[in-house]
Parts: sequence; structure tokens; C-alpha cells
Amino acid sequence: MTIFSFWIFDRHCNCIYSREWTQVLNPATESSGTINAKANEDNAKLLFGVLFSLRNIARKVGDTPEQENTLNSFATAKYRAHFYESPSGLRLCILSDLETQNLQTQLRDVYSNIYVEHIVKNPLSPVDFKPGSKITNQRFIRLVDRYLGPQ
Amino acid sequence: MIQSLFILNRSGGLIYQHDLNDGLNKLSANEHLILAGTIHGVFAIASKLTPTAVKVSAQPRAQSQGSAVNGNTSGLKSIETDKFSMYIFQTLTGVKFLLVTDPAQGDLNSGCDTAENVLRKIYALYADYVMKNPFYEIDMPIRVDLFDRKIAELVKAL
Amino acid sequence: MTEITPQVNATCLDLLINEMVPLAIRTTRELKQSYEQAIESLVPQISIKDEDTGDVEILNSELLHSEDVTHKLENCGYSIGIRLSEVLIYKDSQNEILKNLELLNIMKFICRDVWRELYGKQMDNLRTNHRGTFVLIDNAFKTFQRFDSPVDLQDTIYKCKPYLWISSGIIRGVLKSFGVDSLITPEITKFPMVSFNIQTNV
Repeated sequence: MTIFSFWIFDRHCNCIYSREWTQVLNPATESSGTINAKANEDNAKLLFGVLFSLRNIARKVGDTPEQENTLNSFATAKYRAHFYESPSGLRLCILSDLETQNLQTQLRDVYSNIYVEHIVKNPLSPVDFKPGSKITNQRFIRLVDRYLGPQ
Repeated sequence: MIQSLFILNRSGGLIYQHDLNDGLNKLSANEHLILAGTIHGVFAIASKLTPTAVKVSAQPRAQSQGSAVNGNTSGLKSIETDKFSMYIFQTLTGVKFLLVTDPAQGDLNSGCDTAENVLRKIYALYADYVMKNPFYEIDMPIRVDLFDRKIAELVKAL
Repeated sequence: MTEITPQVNATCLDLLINEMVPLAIRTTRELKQSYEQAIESLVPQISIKDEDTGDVEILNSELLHSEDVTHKLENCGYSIGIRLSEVLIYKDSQNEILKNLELLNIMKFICRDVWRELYGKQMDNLRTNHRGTFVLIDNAFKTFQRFDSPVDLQDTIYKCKPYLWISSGIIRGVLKSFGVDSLITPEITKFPMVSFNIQTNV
């Protein structure tokens, strides 16, 4: 199983965290890939657009009076995107290879055990991000890397 | 179980929509058009989002040569939701076939292959009963009873 | 009939404590402004505007380490301390420590009973020069467990400091309830390790 990147969008539809891993670990810097890279801004918008459109289709076609339908993932021939939306409107997304089929538990874990614990319960971190501001808190980055990053 | 079938022409216009079962919400004609347009757009964007790591590792394949728009084989293929799955198959001419089914059980990749098989069969029917029909005008909505019947037979036989 | 032990949700309590410093800054700021603006009016407007929900700009206020804010927080802790020690003594009247009320025992009471009640753990170290000065050390201060500034460690420590005044006030309150006057300086030695320097012969 390979995870390529991880994204968080807040309820204002802004990307507040993006992490892309390159699979070749650079021993010198210990971490590989990019965090909140400027170059990924456009990709973030595209990804959000795709997730948002597909989620709306999912809701329109699949909602029942008793239950809302949820979008779990979409796939192309090259990768799979896993999606989780919290009831508060926070949206998390992981891009992985096609072998990785279901990351709902992992997304929920990141939300409840990392985001809620270290962003929401951390009084030094905002919970409502201004446009353009990102999560830069080191402990959060470290925990996400340890949980989702290449071993 | 197959719920419905959509066919989109190369510019994203909806030319065929048929509910084959009634497990999901009935949409209006307008909503069908919006859905088709959205999928058409998302299909292309999804391939742009391919992670750099895959681009690097993948061998240069046939699709990288030439810039034929329709040759895009890395676009959106499947969507998984709690209540349904959707599979998309684009032909080399840019026509898209969309199949909405009950949610996938078990391995998603093999589910995708099964769906693609069905979609290829539908493509064959399309070629046989729509393209070969002299009264059908290209890119216009498909109103061919024989095609409807063949699709129904195919779905029943699955 | 079974008696239900009253319980407090730890998260709610944490969030409430997290809000204490911003609240102290806001009230200080609003009070200052309303006094400046309307000295003639005898009723100052002290309602707090809902201006900065969700962000942490408030902690960048120059009031963060001001006398007023420090004083408010310390006082808050002080009243909690005075009451808390009463509750703990009542709950545990058999406590060995309380049978001999010398200063060292009172400190032990703070390290064990008070700290366990507040933070679910004991103080890790207690030092004294036997001349009325004590240093209480907690190697992993619970309030700071999730504190992490988006800027850097230095910023984290800078903004954590005011929270210590609450605990420092609590200690002063507990000591006061035993009739001991004290001067306490809290310090973040090595985040999240904290120490409280207590002088009792004041």
C-alpha cells in the first residue's frame, strides 16, 4: 500500500493542509516530499472541485429520507482518492495507489485522534483558518507523517 | 445490480439515460444533464491530479504519444459511495458510458473490471444498434427501441 | 440507593481552561477601552464582543504578559485553591499528611493530593532548602499536553506562560488556607516541564 498525498479542506472550502510524500526517503532531512507547497495550490483547488462535485452527485442520487449518502472514494487508472467529510464540514482526502482500497478508518482516525486532539484542543492553534493560512504546527505534521507517511 | 445507464457524447452532452432498476432516487431530465456535464468535467480533471510519484514511476505508455484528447486513459474510472457505485468507460472516440450499480462488494479493482466488461458489451450494442442505424443522427439523443430492448436483455442476462 | 459521583468531562474542562487566558486578555482590553472612552459614564460597557472566534490572534496581544492579565489569572487560581483545599480536606480527613501540619507536609499535600485532583498525577519532584523555600517540579504539565504553536517552540513557551499563573494561584490559595503566606514564581524549565518556586517566609 502506498500513500501519495494527504489534504485537508476546511468548511470555507480552503485547503488548510497539504502533504505530498515522495517515495524515496531522503535520509538527510528525514522527511521527504512537500508540506503546504505553493506549487500544490492549484492542484488543491482542482481536487476540491472534483470531490465537491462528486459528493454532490452522491447526495443527489443516493440520499434517502433516512440517511445521507456519503462519497467514499473515486479512482482513475492511476490512483485512488479517499474522501471523508466530518459533520462539521471538514474534508479530508488521501491519494493512494489502486491496491489501497479503503482508508475510511484511517481518515476518521486522523480527524479524531490528530486533528481534534492537536488542532482543536490546542489553544495556540486557530480552528478557523483565514484564507491562505495553513496548519504549520510541528506536532500535527509529525503525527500525520508517522501515521500515513512511508514507513 | 445495475441501476442505470448514461451515455455521453464527446462534448459531454447526455445522449442516453435509462433507469434499469429503481433502487435510487429518480432525477429530473435537467438533473441528468447536470450529472453528465459534471462527470465529463471531472473525468478530465481527475487525470490532471495524478500524483507526481505515479507519473515518475509509470513507464511511458502508448497514451503518452500523440495528444489525442480522446486517448485519455487516465481519467475518472469509478466512484464509490455508501449507496451506489459508478463506473465510467471512455471509448477512443470520446464517448463515455456510465454505469450506476449497487455499492461494490469486496475487491474494488475486480469490481471495476467486471463493470468494464459490461460497459464494453454495451459499447458493442451501441455500435451495432445505434451506429448502424441509418436513422440515428450522430451526437443527438438516442431514441432507438431496439437498442433499449437489447440493453434490457443484456442486463437481465447478467 | 447508589450515590452518583459527580464527574466532569475532561475535554470540557480542558477547553474551559484553554479559554481562560484569552478571556482575561479580552476583559482587560475591553475594560481599558471602555474606561478611556467613557470616563464620564459610571457604568462601563464590559460585554465582550464576538470578534475573533476560531483564531488565536488574541494571544498576540501585548496584554498577554501584562500585570492585569497575570493578576486576573492568578486571582482566579487563588480562589480555586482556597476552596479546593477545603474540599480535599473534608473528603479525606484520614489523610496521614494532615495529621502533622508542618510546612513540608503541606507541600507534600499539594504535590500529592492537590495535584492528583487537578491533573490526575503527582508532582514529580519536591526540593527545599529547609529555610522556607520550596521548588515543586512537574515533568509533564498536563495543561500543556496539547499546546503547540504553529510558529515554533519559543512561541509555544511564550504563550503557555500565562496559563501557569492559574496553577500558581491555586498553590498560593491552598497554602493560604493553611495559614501560610507565600510568593510563587512559576517557570517553564524545559517544555512541557514546569517548576514552581515557592517562598514562604514572606
